[in-house]
Amino acid sequence: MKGLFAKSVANGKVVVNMDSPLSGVPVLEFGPGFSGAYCAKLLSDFGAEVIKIESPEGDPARGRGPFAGNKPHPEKSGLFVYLNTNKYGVTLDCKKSEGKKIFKNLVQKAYILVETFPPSELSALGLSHNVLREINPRLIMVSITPFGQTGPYRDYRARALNICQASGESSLMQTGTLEREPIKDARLADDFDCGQTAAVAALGVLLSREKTGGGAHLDISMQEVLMSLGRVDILRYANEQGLMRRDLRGVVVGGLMECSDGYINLVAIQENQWSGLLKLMDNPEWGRDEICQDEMSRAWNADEINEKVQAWMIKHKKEEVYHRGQALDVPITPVYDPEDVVNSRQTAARDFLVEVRHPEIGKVKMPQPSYRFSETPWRFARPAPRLGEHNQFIYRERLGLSREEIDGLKERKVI
Amino acid sequence: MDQMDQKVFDLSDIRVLDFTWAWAGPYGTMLLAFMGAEVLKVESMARLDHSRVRSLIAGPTYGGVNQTGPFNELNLCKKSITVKLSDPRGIEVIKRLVKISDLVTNNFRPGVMEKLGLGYEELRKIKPDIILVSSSTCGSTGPEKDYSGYAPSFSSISGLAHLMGFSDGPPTLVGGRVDTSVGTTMALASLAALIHKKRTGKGQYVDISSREAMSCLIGDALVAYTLNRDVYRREGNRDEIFVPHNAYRCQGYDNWISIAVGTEEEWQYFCRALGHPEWIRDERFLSRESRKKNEDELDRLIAGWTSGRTDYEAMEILQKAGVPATPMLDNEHLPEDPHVQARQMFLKISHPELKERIALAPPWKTDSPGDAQIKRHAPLLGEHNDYVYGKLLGMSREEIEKLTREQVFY
Repeated sequence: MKGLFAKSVANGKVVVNMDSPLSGVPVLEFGPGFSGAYCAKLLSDFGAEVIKIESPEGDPARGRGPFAGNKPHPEKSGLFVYLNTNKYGVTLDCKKSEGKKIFKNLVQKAYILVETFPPSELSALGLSHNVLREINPRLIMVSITPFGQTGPYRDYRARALNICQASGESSLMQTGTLEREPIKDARLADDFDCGQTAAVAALGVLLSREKTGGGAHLDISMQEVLMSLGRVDILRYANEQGLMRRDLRGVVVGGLMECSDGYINLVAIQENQWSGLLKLMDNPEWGRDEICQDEMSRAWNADEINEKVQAWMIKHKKEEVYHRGQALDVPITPVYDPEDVVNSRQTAARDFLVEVRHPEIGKVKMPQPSYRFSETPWRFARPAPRLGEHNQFIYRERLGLSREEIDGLKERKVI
Repeated sequence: MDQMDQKVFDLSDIRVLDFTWAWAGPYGTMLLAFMGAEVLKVESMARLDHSRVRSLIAGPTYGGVNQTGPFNELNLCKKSITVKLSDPRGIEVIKRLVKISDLVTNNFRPGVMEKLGLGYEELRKIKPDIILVSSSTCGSTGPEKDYSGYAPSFSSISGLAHLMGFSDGPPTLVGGRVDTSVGTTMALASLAALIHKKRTGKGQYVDISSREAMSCLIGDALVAYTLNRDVYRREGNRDEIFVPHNAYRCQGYDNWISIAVGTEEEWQYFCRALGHPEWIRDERFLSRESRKKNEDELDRLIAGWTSGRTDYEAMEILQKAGVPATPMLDNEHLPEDPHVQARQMFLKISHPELKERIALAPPWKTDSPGDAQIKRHAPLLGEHNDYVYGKLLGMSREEIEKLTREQVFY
């Protein structure tokens, strides 16, 4: 029973095929916010059998756009489809004692539980790690919270905006001015990043499990995840007293440049990149000036040089300088909006967008994971669940409840 | 308690032959090293990891190759060997290492590993169940596969930068955290492939596109386009649902408090905490929709309150009332924050050339206290040549000395 995936064998027969790295690995997802949903999405992308537990009111992503037809509807959220395709969905009210009992039964059968409740709230529900590990000693419990399970802010409330500001990330977003407020990351990117790090930790424990035997409680603090992602810049002060501020620009040639029809990012630090850039601009005379001679003097005079490069860029189109620049080995990239990303020839050539079915919306095109596995490609298993769609299946097939019992739970609004 | 000593992560049976450099890949393999995997970083004086010599933001750095910030923050707990890949004898040694490794990682431009004779097909001949994880700017297929880029490039071409910044300003490029996010994706894919190998005995080739990794973080914006042809834009700190949702200036120099009110309940707590219970009945703010419509006005009123308080005072008042609020912390003030201190995020480690150095703890904590520690500094260049060539490959001292003299181990 110490094996990594002992439970994939039932009655002496292997019951799951291994088309995916996590085929047949049972995962429970439970709690508010988007980080837990993204974490479990990544696991389901690898073929894990994820049961998403929603409160009877439904997951917050159901209330968030984009909605098909732009009309808010809990079964028509594109965000919900993106986060929950391939998962099973059940509803459960864990404030009721019957609900708690069902939850514990689900926990007993799970390898991984991803949850996002404030630490005190889970204890108040009587579902803390101490309780759950009695039920399932090998459980990998992943708790994602704003500030972690310990420390003075453990019960502080925070959303992605707050975490971004409290982790140093906002201070690093170079908007060029201290006059205006520090800004947040794009949309839900911070929630998703925290979910991704949580998934890494969960898989690390799963892979270790054969040797360690036991389960674990993973304490994922969103503040710490973002600090870790920004660690080079954050430590620059601790180690070298180097202050990073949002009004300070880099001291190298390049950065954001405006073209006639939008923006590009230019990198032209190394010699080959710099000479490629000169070629792109038809070798202007000023390129032979003393200040352009080597990397160091270009860095010292970056402002002056950038001004001249910008004057050239504004007369050209972003796609043109992108392809011509890259052909000359200059890392130029256009600033794409979502439409550009969707319509990019590279997106098409790599099938980055995949079409999934949804009973209420029809066909939806959404990103597949950014990694292509040669042996275990991503596959569509089932549409994102409608609210409570798999109550019958999970509670009957997995927990062995009778139809009458399930009807009773429904009547008492437990599910 | 004996549970406290029990290991949660134990990847000590996993060996990674790591060709990654710069920021993204090294962060990814460092996460594996934090979990106990043996990560052998393949380096050479002939082609130094540029994080040992320069930074995209700070430009060229001085001091030795073992002393730069970026290298030391992104390569903790790894081992370093030097070997010249342009020398066929170097490649032979690498192939012997492949034979005793589980995972090979790189973030070269597509085609470089093949040119070195280390493409997936070659590696498979040496070790049939090897896993090769490659990460590049655009992925290893498609018309733009040879295009190159760095973190800000990924942020620009993925759609991320377009969605960041003020609504009346330019897009905002993002650097470091984009690389490390791609690195996290690399660690995730590596672990999944390792689990699959453990279950089935099969290795595989994994191809990661950095721009796609960033696009996945704005998947909802891409779906908005495919679903409705809507092109989302940047809107500062605004959110489509939560309101108020912004950072507000406080007393002192460049101090800010961020506030994110999500529910009706929180809105009422908020108004009372500010001493403005009348806002609850104010027609301009009666519903979420009306607050959204009058958000500029609301922001002005809130700033009037915050400007008379310090960021920490504002946090305490609002948190006590049950409202999500935090100060804006930068790299100077993070180490002083009482919560960050209580969680022991900034750790002192020893370093042979720099004496003491501050490192940041791993992005997780577990039941086992050791997991929150940093066990070793980033390796000196070639620090582990003797261990790897001598102990792991069983080469004699003379042989190692000869190859060192002839600049194969260089």
